[in-house]
Amino acid sequence: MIKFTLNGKQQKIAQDLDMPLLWFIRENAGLKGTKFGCGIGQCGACSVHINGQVSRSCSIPLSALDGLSITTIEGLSGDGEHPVQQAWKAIDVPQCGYCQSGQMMAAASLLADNPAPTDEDIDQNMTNICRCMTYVRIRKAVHKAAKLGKNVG
Amino acid sequence: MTLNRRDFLKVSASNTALVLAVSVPTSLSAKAVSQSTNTAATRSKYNTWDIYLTIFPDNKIEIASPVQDMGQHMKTAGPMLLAEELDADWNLVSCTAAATHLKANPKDNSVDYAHASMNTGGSHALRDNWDYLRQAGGTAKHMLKQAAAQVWKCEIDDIDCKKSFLFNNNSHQKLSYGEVAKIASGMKAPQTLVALKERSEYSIIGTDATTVDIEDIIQGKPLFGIDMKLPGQVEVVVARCPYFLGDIKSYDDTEALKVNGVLSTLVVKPSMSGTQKKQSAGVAVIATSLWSALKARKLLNIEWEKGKWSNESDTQLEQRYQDLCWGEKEGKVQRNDGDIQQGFQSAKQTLEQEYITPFLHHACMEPMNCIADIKADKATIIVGHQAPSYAAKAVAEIAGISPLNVDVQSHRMGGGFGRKWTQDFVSEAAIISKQLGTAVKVTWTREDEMEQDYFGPMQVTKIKAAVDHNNKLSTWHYRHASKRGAAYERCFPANLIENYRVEVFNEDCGTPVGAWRGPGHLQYTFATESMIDELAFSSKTDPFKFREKLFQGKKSFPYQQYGGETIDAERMFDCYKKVAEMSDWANYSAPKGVGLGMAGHFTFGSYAAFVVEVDARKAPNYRVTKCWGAIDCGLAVNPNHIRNQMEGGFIDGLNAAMFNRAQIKDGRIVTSNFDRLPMLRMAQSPYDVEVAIMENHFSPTGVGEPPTAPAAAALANALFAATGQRIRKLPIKLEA
Repeated sequence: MIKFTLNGKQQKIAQDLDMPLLWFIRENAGLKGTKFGCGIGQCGACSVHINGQVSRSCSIPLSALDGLSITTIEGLSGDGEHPVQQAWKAIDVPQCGYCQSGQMMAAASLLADNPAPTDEDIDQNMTNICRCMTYVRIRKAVHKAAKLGKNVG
Repeated sequence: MTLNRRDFLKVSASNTALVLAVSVPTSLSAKAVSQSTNTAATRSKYNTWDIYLTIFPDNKIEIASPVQDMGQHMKTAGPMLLAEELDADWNLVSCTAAATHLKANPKDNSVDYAHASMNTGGSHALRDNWDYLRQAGGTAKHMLKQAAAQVWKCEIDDIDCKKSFLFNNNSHQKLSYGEVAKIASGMKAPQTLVALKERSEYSIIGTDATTVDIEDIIQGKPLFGIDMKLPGQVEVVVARCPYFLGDIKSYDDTEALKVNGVLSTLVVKPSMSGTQKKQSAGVAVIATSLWSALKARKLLNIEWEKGKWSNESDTQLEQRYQDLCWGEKEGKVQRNDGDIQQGFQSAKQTLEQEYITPFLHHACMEPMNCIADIKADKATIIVGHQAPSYAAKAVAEIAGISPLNVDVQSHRMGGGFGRKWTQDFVSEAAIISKQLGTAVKVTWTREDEMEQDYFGPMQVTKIKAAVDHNNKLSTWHYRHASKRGAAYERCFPANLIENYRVEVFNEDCGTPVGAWRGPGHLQYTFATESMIDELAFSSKTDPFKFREKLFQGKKSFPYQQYGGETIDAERMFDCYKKVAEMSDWANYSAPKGVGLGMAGHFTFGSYAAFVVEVDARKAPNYRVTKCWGAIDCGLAVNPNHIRNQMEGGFIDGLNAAMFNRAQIKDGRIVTSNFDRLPMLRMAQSPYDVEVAIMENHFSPTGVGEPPTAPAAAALANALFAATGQRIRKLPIKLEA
């Protein structure tokens, strides 16, 4: 039996502990914002926060999560008011939108560690694949979120 | 039961909305339904076919987009057209996806869309819906005016509409659309086309609208096919034959069946159309959960029948294509203007080079998936698909029913790029559901998506070209070899050159190929725009000036077949001119190792040209630092999203140039996931793409594909300017 929290809710799990967190989030908890992209931790579509750090949920089995706290895009803010979400909307980043939950989770984690990232910081930390190649807008939105976060803070 | 479309249902519920069904040009109907019953099921029950517009009593408007979104932004652009002619307040509009409505075509026993076209491919969705959706909006406005005229007891001509309100010019009274929607729904719809607005009157078209699904996207709401569920569905994954056009020799599912939650396995038989796969052979694992199915699939013990293509590799195909292009044999002659032999004889200088592009992965971020529920007399399909009618037809064939009884419920696609135009992933789910007699959800993994692609075709292109004594391009002999490329003998520099000959070799191979974002155009443009750059440098002419000379005095030419009716040299050249200005091409100076490159192309009705700046001072590493792009796509419906496509679509072309090679060995794919297929990420992306949208009086054309084609040539030309290294093969390998 392991215990962890998912968006603040306590989870107790005794079976399928070899199952990657991604499938628990999507199939068991029914939260569809976290996306399946590659299954091997390469693309970042499945990015969530584990104890505040961005992590690729497709490659982390449930057994590794005992006592940890997990946040998905649905738990990033109650209502889409997180500075990253607001910046994504203001810049109108998405094309297909599929990878953007993961991109926003990566950006939120980056900004929590580094409230004013440079272009180089963004290059090094925003490593998720966007197949529509919206990188120009993702970059703009990270800078915008940094400004919004500062104003909020 | 089929209602007479001109009958009107009377509903006495207090919260009544206008629901308008429009079929251009003359078949119109409207009916009132109560808000609470305004669901897909109710609509279907009343057979209210094409429902694109609902106006609620609180003046909110819902517009159902006939075309689903895959990142091309039609779910925003389509409703903008309708809202414009409706004179709606865009802030009151929300958008949904329309249900799929098909009709039989008794002439040839086929089916087609009953109303607006729902296809998205070939950059045609906006063009195909341009008149239709504006007529729908204009018709609804006319009926609202009729209703208000009845209330006010005035003439229709005394009423003006603005931002979802009606104004009585005589009495200065005002009514909201929501207030008269119920009455309007009882009005007789005009039986002829309504007059549409002039461009100068537009207040929605031409503005920067935000993605209509933005709130759902930023909050991670379920939007995509993979997020959907049908009650009672079982979860399925399929172990498909990795060898192209192979089969199953034998399989043992003993261990797989021991996995908790696994229900059964079954075989999906392969089928082909020539050397193109229709359906891959596979063993389906059926389970109560996706995780059980995934675990069990790994435990299947399958011996594959490799089939006749199991020696195929992309390197060996490349050699075969090269032999054809450089050989003596004549290819299929697509076009032959003037006399190339004479042209080469009188030339000042002749160049002959080959350009190679590999098989391209689609790598849709959302791997394929499909929910299918096949019953004896009807079928339900839940899927993200670029052509719902094709999906319906494929399912109908398997289910043995009419396509009209296939309910295709479309969802947003996590990328399409042409891959989701094919039906294999839909028909496979239908086959499995039919065999099982239950609803199934088939989910593909990344490896499935990569291995079972219909790849962008590999192409070798050889061009022999010459300039005359005025350093002007005079002669062009183009030969290419691929499985199923298009020659684009109608694309520039066609019509600009006196002596122009195009030959193609269509060579069979086992590797399946299909439409890849502007099919053939990136491959073609890499070859032609690189050669033009080579000719410019070898004749010591500035590449922009070289093009200026080439396009000078040329006008518009017929462009028969798919893509547009005409191809206009002036519109194309204006894009080159614009990006030259934007990048300050004429005055540009940079340190050694940094340079600019230019390329442009006409794809499916729109013209795009780009200049790329590349920094290769740390060769073999390099970075695209800045891009400038100009597009002529007729009237700009939503400049915000045109810019978004000019950024992302162009960078996708850079990705094809830098990374995207589907590597094939032993008749199967090597690059089966992102650990083997590198992709362009933030650290390789240009920091910015500066975009200009050309103003003109033409009708709108698409933007999903036109920005992609010029990217590879623009980058290769920039690398030459920066380093002197000429790139003639993709993906790019730069030397130190």
